[in-house]
Amino acid sequence: MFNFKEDWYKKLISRVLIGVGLLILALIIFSLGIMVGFHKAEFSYHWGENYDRLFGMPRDLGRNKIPDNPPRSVLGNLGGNEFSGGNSAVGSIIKFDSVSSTLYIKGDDNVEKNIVIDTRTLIRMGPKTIQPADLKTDDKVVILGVPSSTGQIEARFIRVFPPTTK
Amino acid sequence: MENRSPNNNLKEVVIKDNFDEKFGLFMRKNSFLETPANLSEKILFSIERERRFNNSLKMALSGIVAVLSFVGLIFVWRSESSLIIHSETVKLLSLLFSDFSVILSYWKEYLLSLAESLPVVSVLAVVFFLWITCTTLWLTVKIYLKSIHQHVFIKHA
Repeated sequence: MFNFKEDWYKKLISRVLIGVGLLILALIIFSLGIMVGFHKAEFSYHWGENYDRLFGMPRDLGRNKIPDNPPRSVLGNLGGNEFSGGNSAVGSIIKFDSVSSTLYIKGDDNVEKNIVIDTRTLIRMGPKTIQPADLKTDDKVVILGVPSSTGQIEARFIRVFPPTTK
Repeated sequence: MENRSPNNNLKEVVIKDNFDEKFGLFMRKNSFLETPANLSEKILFSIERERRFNNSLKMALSGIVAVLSFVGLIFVWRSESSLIIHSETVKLLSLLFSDFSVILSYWKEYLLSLAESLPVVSVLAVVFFLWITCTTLWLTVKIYLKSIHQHVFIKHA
């Protein structure tokens, strides 16, 4: 019934297989996108809900807080730029609370984030490892961490860049 | 043994003579049936002319698309470059060079951070226009080189 020496059989089978493979790849990429988007939205929700408690603003102003002046592009908000990720933070230090070991930073997108420092956190400036007490206001930092359910980031690694002298 | 009457033989001769006369007359009246001496050159010339026209048309179209996409690329880059260059992704990528061993320890958090901070739509727009520009430019050059090669080939044939 099936003569696999016929060219059109071979072409049809190979095209079907390639099409199914591409569909699987597209679905995998789509799923990853949904996962990342959900992760981002979840942190943004917790951050917004706890903004008043984390940053000391009145509850009415803290609720539904959105980033001030988020970066705008001609393509609008297709990429979900209004949401902030919870696995990293890049910006400059506003304040360090040594009592609660909490760092307050403000990102380039004008989003404030609350960073919790614990014993597992590794802080580096240049080649040296430093202590949380060595952190200064206006230091540029890149933070890698884990988002918490309270809208904070539990820092695992902080890379400090000294402020550039003008 | 074939039984052929003299009348049949006569008819055949008459028909044959008539045919020869009429065929000769037909050929003399319709001299276009004679093939001209340079017919093959004319045919090849027509084919070559048609091929050159098609190549020129393809080159023109791909060239126009290349120029338009390049203009689009400039516009998109001007509007999206600051978003891409100042995104968290670039700063996170710099950690690969300064703290590679730490990144390996927290690779899951690092990958998620990259995925969350990547300005996907901006990068996609820039890459799309860049791809269109490069592809159409490559097609234009390919058609041009092919036409030169064929021209040289025919010239020396």
